[in-house]
Amino acid sequence: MPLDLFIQQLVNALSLGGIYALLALGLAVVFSIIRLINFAHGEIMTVGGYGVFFSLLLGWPIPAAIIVGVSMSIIAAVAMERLAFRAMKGASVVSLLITSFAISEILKVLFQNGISARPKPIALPSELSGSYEVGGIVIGVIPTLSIAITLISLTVLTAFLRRTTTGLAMRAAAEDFDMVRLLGVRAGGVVAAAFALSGLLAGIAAVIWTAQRGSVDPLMGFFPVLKAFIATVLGGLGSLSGAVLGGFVVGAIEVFSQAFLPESLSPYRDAIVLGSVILILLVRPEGLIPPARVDRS
Amino acid sequence: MTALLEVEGLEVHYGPVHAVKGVDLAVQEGTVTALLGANGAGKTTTLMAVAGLRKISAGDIRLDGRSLVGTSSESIIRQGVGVSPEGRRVFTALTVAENLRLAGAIHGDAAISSSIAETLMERFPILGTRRHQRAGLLSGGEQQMLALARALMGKPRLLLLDEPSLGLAPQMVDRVFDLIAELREEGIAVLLVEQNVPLSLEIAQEAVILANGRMAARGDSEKVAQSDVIHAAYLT
Repeated sequence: MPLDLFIQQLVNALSLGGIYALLALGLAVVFSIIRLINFAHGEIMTVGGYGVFFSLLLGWPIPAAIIVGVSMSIIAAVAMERLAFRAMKGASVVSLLITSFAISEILKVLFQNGISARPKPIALPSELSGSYEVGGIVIGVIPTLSIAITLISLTVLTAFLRRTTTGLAMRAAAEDFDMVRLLGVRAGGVVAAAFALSGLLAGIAAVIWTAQRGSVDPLMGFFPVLKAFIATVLGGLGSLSGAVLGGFVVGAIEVFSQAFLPESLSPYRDAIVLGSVILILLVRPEGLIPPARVDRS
Repeated sequence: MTALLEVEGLEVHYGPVHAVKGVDLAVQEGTVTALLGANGAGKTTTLMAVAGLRKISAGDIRLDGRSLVGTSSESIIRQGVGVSPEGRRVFTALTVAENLRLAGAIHGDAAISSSIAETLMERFPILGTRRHQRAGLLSGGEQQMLALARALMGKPRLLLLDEPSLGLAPQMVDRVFDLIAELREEGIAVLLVEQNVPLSLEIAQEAVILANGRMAARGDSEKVAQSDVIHAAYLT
């Protein structure tokens, strides 16, 4: 394998894996606390994508569009918790799951009928869509920016989870939510913060995804979140560091299988990704980094 | 004198199971009330009902004469209640210092929280030594110290302790009971659920014995210690 091609694909893998990692982390943050796999997480991402699209349509500068996109994802996530999941407090995991499917479907239909079923193109300035050369290796500007944004987000998030009281409460709640309440920490605040954080991460993922694809459509969040869900299972459902690792692993398998497998196998790319995940889970059924969790009846 | 904590006619159901059937108890300031009984007698359920984590079917729980029924756990804790639950339940992925810091968040002031944590780490030197270690790496006895220290971070007036001596080496059991006696002398009221009946009766002023969710005996701990129920079940 030529080194330059490998490095180019490594950049692509990190860039795609980073998006999966951000989304998987958002899913894991919520799951770790209220045991909900939020299948409407993809639509939180889509809302962010449309936020970017409409801001640019209004002629606003890119930084403003990014802020609007990310903010709209946060608002969507918090509203989802407030309007749908809070009312379901104490409901079974299955009821929560079905609720999240329902929200996901409702939002998809709203996007399709209210905006458009077709992809809406986003025009990015030429300096962003270009590439640069390092030692004879051509690397895209957007993948580089994606990796940088992902790494900065993960670093800031780690600091948040370690240094702030809300972050500590979220880590503790992932292990034993009732015990957190027995310390006088408000349960509702921790859950709301988890949704806001998942919205923030989905919003950042939406900005990167939109920039990479150059368009927004009602299903834009669906497929990446499906991969992110696989990443959270691979990493260890409920484990935050596992979700990040799982995201990068799924991204790497996807990119490298596409780049280096023979052309005839390319229709089987997703099967190869899933097959690899199944193989890893056979060896490590608890996931790559299982969460520390106490389950109590 | 009104007791700090009063439980009256407490009933708790788990679905079809009637776990607690008409339990009464009281804890005065600066005293220990022991809640004793065999496994499954309803001790932990009673304690968790007081802490607001179990919904009650009937009866009343009052702190300072005010009913806690329908109050969330968080609000009950914020009224001056500290809990060290069964199985310690320290956050294993957090460090010792982080466990304490989270418990101190109730004060809403990092300086107050950190000063209380420092005082507690002087009281429990092992926690000071291990402050940067993950709680999951501590021994059972050390985790129990952390669970007690964490319950004390909120400066409680009432402590709910569930099996604090369970699974500990004899020396550590003595240390835990000495500590409960110290806390009592400091004016903290303690509701103690224990399996170590002789030591509990020695330290407590009042005792309630539960059997199959019902009160089998209640009263002055010295009298309860002499009662037939205790002799038959534990002390013979």
